[in-house]
This record gives sequence, structure tokens and C-alpha cells, in this order.
Amino acid sequence: MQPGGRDLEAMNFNSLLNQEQSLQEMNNHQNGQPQMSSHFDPTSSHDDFLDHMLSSIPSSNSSFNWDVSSVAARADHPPPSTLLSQFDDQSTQLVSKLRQHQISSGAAKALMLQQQLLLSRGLAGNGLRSPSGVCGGESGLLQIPLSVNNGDHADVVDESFQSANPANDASMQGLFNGFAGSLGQTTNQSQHFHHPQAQNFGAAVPGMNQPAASGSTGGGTPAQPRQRVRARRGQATDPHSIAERLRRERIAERMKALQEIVPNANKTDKASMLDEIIDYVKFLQLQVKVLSMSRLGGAGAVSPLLADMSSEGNGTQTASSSNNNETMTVTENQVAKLMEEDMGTAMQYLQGKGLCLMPISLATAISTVTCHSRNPLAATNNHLNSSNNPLISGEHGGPSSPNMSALTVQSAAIGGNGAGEAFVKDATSVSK
Amino acid sequence: MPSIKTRFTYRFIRAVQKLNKNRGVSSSMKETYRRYHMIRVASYASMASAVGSKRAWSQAVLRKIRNHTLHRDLKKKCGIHALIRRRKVSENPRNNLNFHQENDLRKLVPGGEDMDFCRLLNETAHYIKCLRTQGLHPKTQLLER
Repeated sequence: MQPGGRDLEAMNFNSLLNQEQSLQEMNNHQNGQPQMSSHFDPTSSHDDFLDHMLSSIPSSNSSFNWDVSSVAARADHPPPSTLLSQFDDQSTQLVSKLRQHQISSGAAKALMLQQQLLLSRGLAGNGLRSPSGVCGGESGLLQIPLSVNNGDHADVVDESFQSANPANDASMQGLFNGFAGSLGQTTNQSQHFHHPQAQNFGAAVPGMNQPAASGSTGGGTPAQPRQRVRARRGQATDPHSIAERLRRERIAERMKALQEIVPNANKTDKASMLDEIIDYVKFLQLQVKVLSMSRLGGAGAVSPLLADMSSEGNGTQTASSSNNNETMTVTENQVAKLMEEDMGTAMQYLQGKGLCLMPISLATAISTVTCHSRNPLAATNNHLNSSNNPLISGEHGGPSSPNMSALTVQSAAIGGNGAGEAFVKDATSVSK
Repeated sequence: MPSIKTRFTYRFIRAVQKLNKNRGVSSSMKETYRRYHMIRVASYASMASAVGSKRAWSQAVLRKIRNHTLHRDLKKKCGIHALIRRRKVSENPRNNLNFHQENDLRKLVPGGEDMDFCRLLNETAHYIKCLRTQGLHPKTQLLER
């Protein structure tokens, strides 16, 4: 068994080294790329990475409850399982040795402690038996991490990976030799250590990654110790969450662009922003309707349509066209008279009727359409021009409440609305 | 390269002139309403053709107009696109707290049924811009007689 174990050990060590190298390359090329879940970088010099690894180990074995901070102190406490008593001396020696040596690379500690824990885990699971029994147990353990790794892996800590130590290989080698040396102190147990160490070296590493990964991306199981390192917020590298994040960013971008277009867009809430947008689109479509009505021929033709459309909103029926025509004429005259006296009263009169004035461009267009026989007075037009623009019936600053209807000829309900958007057909073309 | 506004105005004027030329003498309600409807459609059609087929909404408008003149609108509820969209929506579980508004917006913007939300917002922005153009430029001195 021993020669086989040695080969296995060398093979695993080589594979681990290769993994490190490729991982370093990846680190140098792409920082934070989410391809690292199947690789293990034991050469990080961050202590939090060490904590992370150590804390992730117990997740696959619930019988132990390792507290990361007390790893060193573990030597002082009796182990939870009596099976460990034999190896406790060994572990304490290892721990103290490491601390004395002050190994710069944190991976050294990680590897050693990992190996320790795996050993103890295997032993606790299988009981202390002959070397073959131990090896069998370890190989059983070996299978578990391998199979566990097949699940989806979110990424493990990425920023701790970033400072990859280029001198890893040498330190790894030295560390390994150091293990061998320290483990060789107990003669009859050195073989045990070698075999499980070799077998589990490559296998347990990915096995540790997976629980670590699941712990860092999800909430983690409640049994996890606290010092687990989580993936940085906003950098979760699950492809689904990346796609989601991109999508959300794009949507936020578009919403911002829309915010600039739509008036009254100072809402921070997405829902109310959408409401504003919807109302604005409805208003614009209504405006097109109104304007297309204004382009119809005939003065009498428009009012029934107006009445009809307002009845769509209000449900009130109106009189026939002839009556409306007369009403309009009367109103016009009244407004014209008022305008001569005072613009203010004229405006109030109009607003009281639920009407307002139009910008000059629209007014002339409508007037030529509807009032072919009348000549718009230049004077009144100028008046209107100067006073209309603030009251422009376009959408700029127009709709104070987006829910108003554009046709308020007949409805008094909207009379209270200062910027009532109904248009007065002939108000601008009053001839005197 | 004339702007969209110019192109729209040009086409719209021509359309309305044509309409006015063929106008009958009768001023019955029905006739008036139909004429109003034609003018409104002409407005949208000129806007959409001025924009061209670059935009999904303009394509949808033109398509709808052409279909409408041929035969009545088929309800698109069971169309394949609606099915695709519904499936897409259900695939994103944490998709939307604003599902209601999103739906309304889809109904408002032409062609909004078949696209995802992100694209819908894009189309809405362009649509709003063009609608404003439609409203703001009746410098057109439409000849009535």
C-alpha cells in the first residue's frame, strides 16, 4: 500500500501545483473572473482566506463545530471526539510548529490545518483502526468532496485571490516537506498521515471550495461560523446574477433617460415613474386626437366631436351642433370684448368656461382651417402671442395633472384646473 | 438630411390635403367622425413613415394601419408573440413589482406587446419624442377649401 500511496501523494501534489499555477495565471490575467470555483489557490496570503477555508470545512461534516478563531487554542481544549485524542498531540505540535516557524504564506497554515481537520474527520467517522482501515475511511471521504463539487459553484472569495504569491511553488514544496518531517515524528502514525494527506490533498480542496462557495453566495447555513468571507456585494459571479444585474442596470439607464423626457419626473420611485410615463403617453395621444379634430373642416363640425369626446370621459351628452355653434359665437364675442378691456378678466372668463388660449402657431393653423371667412387680428394675435406662451397647450409644463382631458368645453369639472387644456376654436381669430 | 420633424410635417400636410380634396359635402356625424379618424391615422402614419422601420413602434404602427385597411384587427391575444412574451415574463420570477404598469405601457406603445421590458422603455422614449413632434408642429397651414 505504501508505494501506491507515495505515488498517489506525488500525483496529487503535482496536480495541486498545476492547479495553483493555472490559477495564478488566471489571477494575473483576469481579476475576479468567475472561473475559479473548481480551482483552489492555497497560496493567498490573506488570513481571512484561511478563515474562510477553515470555516467551510465543517459544512460537509456536521458532527464537528470548528471555531476558526480558536483553531490555535484547540490544542488546549480536549477534542470533541475521543478518537482524536491520539492525534491531538500531533495537531498541537503542528500548530505550535507553524506558529514558531511563522510561515509567511497563509496557505501553509491552511494546508496543515486542513489536513488535520480532514484527518480528524475521517477518524471520527470511521473510528481508529488499522492503517488499511484508515485509508479506507479516507478514500471514502475522498469520494464525497469530489461528488459534492459537481453542483453549481458560485465563486469563492475573489479579492483574496488577487494577491497571488509568485513564490508559491517553492513554499509549497517546502511546506510539504515540513509536513513530512513533522509528521514523521511518530513512526507508526506517519504512514496514516501520509496516505490520507496524499489522497485528500487534491480532493478535499475542491470539496472545500463548494461549501465555501455555497456559503458565500447564499446566506449560508446557520451552523456556519461567522468569519466566513462572502463574495463582495455586486460582484457575485453566478452567471444568472450577472445577467440579472446587467439587465437591471440597463433598465435603470432607460428609466433615467425617460425621466428627462417626461415632465414631472422627479419621482424616485420606479412605480410612480412608470405611472407618470404612462399618463404622459396617454396625454400625448389625446393631444394628437384633439389636433386631428382641429384639422377637420367646418366650424360646426368640430363641436359635436368635442362633445362626443368629452362624453367619452365624462359620460354627458350634449346638444346638437347648432346650439353649440351659437354658444361658441357668444363666447367669442364675450372674450373679445373682455380682451379689449383687460387680459386678466378675459383669461378668467375663458378659464371659467373651461377654455384656454392656444399658442400662435396652433391658433393660426386652426383659424385657417375653421374660420376661413375671418381675418385674425394682428393686435389680438400679438396679445395672445405674448400671453399664450406660458399657457402653451403643448406639453411643456402643461399638464399639471396628467389625468385631465383635453376637451373641457362642456365639462365644468375641470374648470378648477388652471391650465385647462381645451382649446378655443375661434378665440384667436376674433375680428373686431 | 431633413429631420424627422420636417419629414413628418411634409407627409402630414400632403395626407390632409388629399383628404380634404376628397371630402364630401355631407357633414353628418358619421362622416365627420370618419374624417376625423382618417386625419388621426394620417398623423400617426406620417409620423411612423417619417421615422421609418428603424423603430419597433413605427413598424407596428404601419403594420397595424395596413392590416386595418385590409381587414379588421385580429385580436392579438392569442398570437405567438404574446405567448412568447408571457413565457418570458414567467421565466423571470423576481421580475416585476410593476407588472401592472408595465402592461399598461405595453398597450399604449404600439408594438409593445412583443418586446421585453428593457426594449419597451427604449421604444417608449422614442415614441414620446415623436408624439411631441406630432403635437407641436401644426405650423402647417392646412388649406381648408
